[in-house]
Amino acid sequence: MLPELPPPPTGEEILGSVEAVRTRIAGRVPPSIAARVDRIAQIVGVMVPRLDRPSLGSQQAHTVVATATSYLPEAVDAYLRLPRDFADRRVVANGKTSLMLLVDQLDLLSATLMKISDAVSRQDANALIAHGAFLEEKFKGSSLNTPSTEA
Amino acid sequence: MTDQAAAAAPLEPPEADNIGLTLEPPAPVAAVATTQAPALAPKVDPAMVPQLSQKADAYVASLLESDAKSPEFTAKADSIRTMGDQDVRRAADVSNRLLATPVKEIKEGGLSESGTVGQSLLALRRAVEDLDPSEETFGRKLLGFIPFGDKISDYFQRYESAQKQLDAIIRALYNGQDELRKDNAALNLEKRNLWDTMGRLNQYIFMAERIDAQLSATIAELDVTDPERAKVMREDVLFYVRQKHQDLLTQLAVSIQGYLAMDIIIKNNLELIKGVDRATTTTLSALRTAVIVAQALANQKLVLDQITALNTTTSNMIVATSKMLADNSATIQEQAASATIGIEQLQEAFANIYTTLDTISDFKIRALDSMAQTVGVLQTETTKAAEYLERSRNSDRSELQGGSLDIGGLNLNTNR
Repeated sequence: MLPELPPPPTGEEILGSVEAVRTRIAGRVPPSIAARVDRIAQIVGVMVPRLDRPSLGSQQAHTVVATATSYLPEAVDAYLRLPRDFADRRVVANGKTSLMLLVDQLDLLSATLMKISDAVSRQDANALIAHGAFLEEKFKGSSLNTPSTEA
Repeated sequence: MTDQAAAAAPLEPPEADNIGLTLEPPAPVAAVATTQAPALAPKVDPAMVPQLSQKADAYVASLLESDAKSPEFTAKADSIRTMGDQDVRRAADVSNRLLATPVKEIKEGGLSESGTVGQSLLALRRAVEDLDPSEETFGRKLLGFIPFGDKISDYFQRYESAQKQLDAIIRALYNGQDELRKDNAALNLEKRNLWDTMGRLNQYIFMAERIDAQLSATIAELDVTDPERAKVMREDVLFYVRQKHQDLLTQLAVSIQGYLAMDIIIKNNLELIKGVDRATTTTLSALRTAVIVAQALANQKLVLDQITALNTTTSNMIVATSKMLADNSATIQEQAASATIGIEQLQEAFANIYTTLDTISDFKIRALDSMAQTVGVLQTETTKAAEYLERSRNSDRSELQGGSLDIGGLNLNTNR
């Protein structure tokens, strides 16, 4: 028998997952982190209604969904598990504290989401350009038309 | 239908099909002999050599100074027994965790049938088989005559209804791929830590060798001048130095074994990640081909029907233009035929999916084999090391206070 595959997460579930992260961090992280999480939440909010666009590749759609349901919560939770003092002051890798590492990860996530969002918008704009070309083609008439035959 | 040349152009095959997919499982890890171990492990930094030598020399000198019956002497002799215990235990912990990893990997990891990736690939094959246009007579009929009747629209309806299932499969594959990538990130970190630990073990081995050499020379002298003291030195110190040396070598060999096993898992995961990439791209291009063909056929058939109707009517009415219209029909027939080339492309795309899936299953079988051999070797080696760990557990005092030979105080940490 075919294995049961989970249904795709709904828009509410995706947004809910990001919202849950914002609730979890409330009052527990420095403003620099909260601002970055808000930024990601904002882009996810913009992207969720556009997830079914054919111009959005399945891989990119996966990135958006996984950012909301897995990449973002896991990054933030890993940070939250650490004692604040340790996370913000102790250097753990490449001369960076856990706080700095989290900032890097959040920046990477939001930059990636932004790129995907831009690409979708550009595709949507293409539809407008194509429609313009179609209208132009249909109504321009022949250059040999005399003025009196112009519609 | 405005641009005849464009409409008649056959579909280009999806790009990904041109490159063959090869997935190569890494060879199994062979047993590492203890004698090879120091050469394979991270080298002792030449800058560290004077420090380590000095520590070893100072130790031997202080042993010689103290009275063999004094408590100081006993304490110093004990230092040998506890030398490097913390690092040995750290290395042993990694080996044990590691031994669990490939076993878990074989049972439920990316290579197993029950893992996310295995299950999704299975589902993908079933779904694709369902959609395969070359299935039985369907393909031949489709290619055999024009117009196709409802066959073609039936087919694409089937495709549409399978779309949801395929989406779910591809999503599951991406999730599985994420898991493999996370596993690899964790393994790489573990590898780096193990590398540092192995470096420290190698430094202890260096010290043990040096102490052994110095002591042996001193004992040879004492044999002549003070046989009693020589006997004490040989039995209470040199014996333990050599035992420690052997233990360190064994643990280092096991660590190297584990390190190589980790490499295998990482490489297997990378191959699977590649396989999933290919499975998703070939599937997607096959499906995209299906959409393109569906659209082309539907549009062409629509126009074809209308023109044929027009053709019939007009040719009845206006004899003079009938010849021209016949020409037109011929062109249209040609175009319709060119659309069937699209179906061939579609079949080719499906064949590509099968090749990809076959390559992946073949890879999984070979990778599992190589992994099983690696686990076997790792198990044997770890059993060898167990004897030492038992000893180390009995002399459990190094836990909190390191012996005088502990190199923790020296700035040996190679971490970044």
